[in-house]
Amino acid sequence: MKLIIHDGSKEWEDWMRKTFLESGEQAEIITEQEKIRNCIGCFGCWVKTPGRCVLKDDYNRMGEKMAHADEIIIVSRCVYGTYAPFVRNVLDRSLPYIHPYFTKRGGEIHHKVRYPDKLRISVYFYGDCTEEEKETAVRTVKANVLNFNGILAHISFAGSREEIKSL
Amino acid sequence: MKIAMVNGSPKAKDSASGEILSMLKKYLCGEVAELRLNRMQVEKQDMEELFTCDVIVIAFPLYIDSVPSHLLRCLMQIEAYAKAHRQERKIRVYVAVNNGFFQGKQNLPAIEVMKHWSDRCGFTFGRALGVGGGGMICFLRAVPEGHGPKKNLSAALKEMAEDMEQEKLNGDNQIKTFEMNYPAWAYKWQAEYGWRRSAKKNGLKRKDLDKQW
Repeated sequence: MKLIIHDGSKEWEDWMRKTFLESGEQAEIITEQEKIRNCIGCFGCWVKTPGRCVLKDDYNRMGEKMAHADEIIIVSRCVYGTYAPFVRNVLDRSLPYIHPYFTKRGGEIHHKVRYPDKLRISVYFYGDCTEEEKETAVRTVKANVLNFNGILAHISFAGSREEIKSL
Repeated sequence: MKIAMVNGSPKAKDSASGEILSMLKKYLCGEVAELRLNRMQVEKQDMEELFTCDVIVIAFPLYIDSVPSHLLRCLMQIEAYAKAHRQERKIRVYVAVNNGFFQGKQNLPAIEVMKHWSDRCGFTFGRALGVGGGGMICFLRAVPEGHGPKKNLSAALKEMAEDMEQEKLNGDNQIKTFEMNYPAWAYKWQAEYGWRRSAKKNGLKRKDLDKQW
């Protein structure tokens, strides 16, 4: 199953299906509808309800949604070399996907995995951004891939959302 | 010179970012305004206060390799305000990011985001610190500045304070990342012991930390 996270409106969902899914393919699309709460750094998702965020809203099961997906597709405006606030917010709330314990990867300390399967991660940035911001965005995505213990499947930059399809 | 010390942690108390700013304050002589950006919106009086300052120093924790989302929303509001209220005075920006990993260099993408934000606001980027081992900073309040595990952090903050007061810009040496003066194995052991202890207080067993859904 694919998990699509994007920073557009409900109207974007049809476009997402046409662009990223085969006919009949299952996907969960994370769209900003209900107000999302920001991660408060309480670590309840590690020590109170491990694997699940303790904040009460529609976004408290991001860890398990990632676990049940084989690919994450992110469509986001590039903001200062990172994702748009809603996408960043969803990723912040995905902390329960990983385990609190540490492990070494590439000589650095990272968190252990909670789920053993490797997750394919594809990111489609769009919008007006400088070359330096693009370089930072690539570094950010690569860091996410390392920390989520995933595989980078795709990363690209388009001037607008409509241009993504032609990439 | 007026300095805005901005705590970008969402935590109401006991944040490593707040502790870093408290340490920095000890090295500063000028007027200091202390602000919190712990919600998704910058309050009107805080926004106005920020733009009366010569220096903005923002401390925050690394969230999923970047700037926490509530702070990112605030940064975008500050950029909009800066563009709507052009200033002749160039505000200088300083940044201190801490992460819960051990290596300070893992803060680099977030530091770069802050630099791009500063550029888009028309501010001048002064210096940024990327601190590893953020999880232990609040436990070191009793340790004198410049000693033991705080040695690197104290030295970097002292240098940052001197830069601010001397209006020094650092060219290619704007970004400094470092670790706490503490063995990595001990940091890992203590962090993991801490998670087990917290879980136990919540009525969980050690194996519950591995829960899969």
